[in-house]
Amino acid sequence: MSADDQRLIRDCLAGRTEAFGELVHRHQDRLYNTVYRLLDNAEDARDVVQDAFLSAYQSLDSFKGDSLFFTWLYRIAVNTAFSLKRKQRATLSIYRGGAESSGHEPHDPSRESQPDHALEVADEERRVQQALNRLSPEHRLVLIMKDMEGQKYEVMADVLGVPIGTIRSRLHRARMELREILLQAEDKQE
Amino acid sequence: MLRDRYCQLLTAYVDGVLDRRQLQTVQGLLEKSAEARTLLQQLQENARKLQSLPYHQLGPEFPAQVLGKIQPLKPVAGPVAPAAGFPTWLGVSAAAAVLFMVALGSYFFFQSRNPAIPDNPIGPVVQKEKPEPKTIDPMIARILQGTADHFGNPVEVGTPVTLADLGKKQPQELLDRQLKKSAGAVHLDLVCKNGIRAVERLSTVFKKNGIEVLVDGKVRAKSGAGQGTPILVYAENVRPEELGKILQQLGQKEGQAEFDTVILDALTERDRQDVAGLLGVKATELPPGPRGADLPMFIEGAPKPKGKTSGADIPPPERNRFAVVLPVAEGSGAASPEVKRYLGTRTALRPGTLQVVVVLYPKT
Repeated sequence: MSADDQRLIRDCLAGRTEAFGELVHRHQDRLYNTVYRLLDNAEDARDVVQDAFLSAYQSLDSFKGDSLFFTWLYRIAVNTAFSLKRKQRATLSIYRGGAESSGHEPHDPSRESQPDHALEVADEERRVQQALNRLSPEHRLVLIMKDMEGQKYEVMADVLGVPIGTIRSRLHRARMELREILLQAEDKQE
Repeated sequence: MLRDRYCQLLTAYVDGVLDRRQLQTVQGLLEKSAEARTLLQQLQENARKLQSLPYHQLGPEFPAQVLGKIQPLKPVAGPVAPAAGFPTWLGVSAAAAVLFMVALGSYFFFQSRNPAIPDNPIGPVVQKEKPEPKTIDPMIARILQGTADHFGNPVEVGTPVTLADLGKKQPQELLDRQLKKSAGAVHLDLVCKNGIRAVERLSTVFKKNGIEVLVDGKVRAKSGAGQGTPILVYAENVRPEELGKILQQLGQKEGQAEFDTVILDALTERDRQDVAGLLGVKATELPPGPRGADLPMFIEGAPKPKGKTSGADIPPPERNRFAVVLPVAEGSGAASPEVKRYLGTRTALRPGTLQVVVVLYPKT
């Protein structure tokens, strides 16, 4: 664990709340990006990240320091996100097609005024996110961790609390499934 | 068709985790097989697409918002701050050595003063065997994750009920309580081994209880592809005691029993909207049903409460009731003949009955 995180945690436990604000500032974006991609909803992702930080704060005295603080925090956020999905039955929400599939942004009328390239990029993002949404949460998470965050198998195994072999097989199935979904989507477009 | 072993090598190649021997195998494969080259290209392209997704961030006001919700912790010793320059293991070892010397010295001291004292005056210590840890099916563990007690406050994710236990008093009472709390609409999550077999078994049991099941054609297509797509079952005007009976029958070991545990929760507004979307109707067309009097505890075999609504006050089940089954990971089901037929059979929701959403999670 970085010496800075260690120092900040010590300060928090000594009653200096502002030190926790610094921890939040350090790790918020990385957590948020993962959770956003898991939930495909900005508001929900924000709530989950906030809840994760609050849970971490409450449990700070139980953090043993045997893993990186961020790893510990990440696990809390992922569990909270999965729990929210479980509550929302988020697998049901992927039926929403088209512009509402993300659910987090209202239709932007300025879209029509964007250059073609920017529109193409936005469409591509939506296609890929929709494909991600069709994966199971476990498969979605390993792809996010591997491809979007560049994590190694060992780190992923540590965060998720599973053997490296499980990470390998989940990634294999996730990649193959994503490929099928994207191929089907391309076929439909044609 | 490329063998699965080669597909796994190619996905691992994309992950950058192959050793030298495996790399040579992949290189040989790519030289010989156009299919392998195409697959690799697609996998790498998809990885690139994920890597190119924009990075979403929170604003600078976020830390202040979090801090606004917390109370300062009472000062405690930080568990993560070892004394600088002094390894923890050394301190522990030193303390253990000191304690040992004190204990040894005390032993010899007291031995010399009163040699008649037996070594163990209290008697042999009986080691109780620790109970075997309860193993949980990994699929159930995933569904219940979020209640991990290691990382803060557990999150309520619904009530698990083992179907095979529904003949016993306590699980039945638990089911009664949950149904009573559900305000006329329940959501059940069922993990099953195989989606098609689960739908067949569910259809048989529903039919036995007077509910005809209409299965969307896409269910078979999705399940046949082995994609493990969740499957939604929706029914209305189901009496609580019927639901209890259905669940008991689903848990019976007939042939290849598909179901083990059901997780029961109330139907949320979000659930309702999602179901409406899958059926291709507006959410307003799936309103909550009228609440009857307190839902009676009419799970078969459970004791009936005194002085409350009795079975005689509840109207008999409707005839010609239907349930609809459709895949979840799909666009609107409005076009399917089965869904259209189901929508044509719907009647008003009756007091004292339940709207039931069942989501099947096939393992294969």
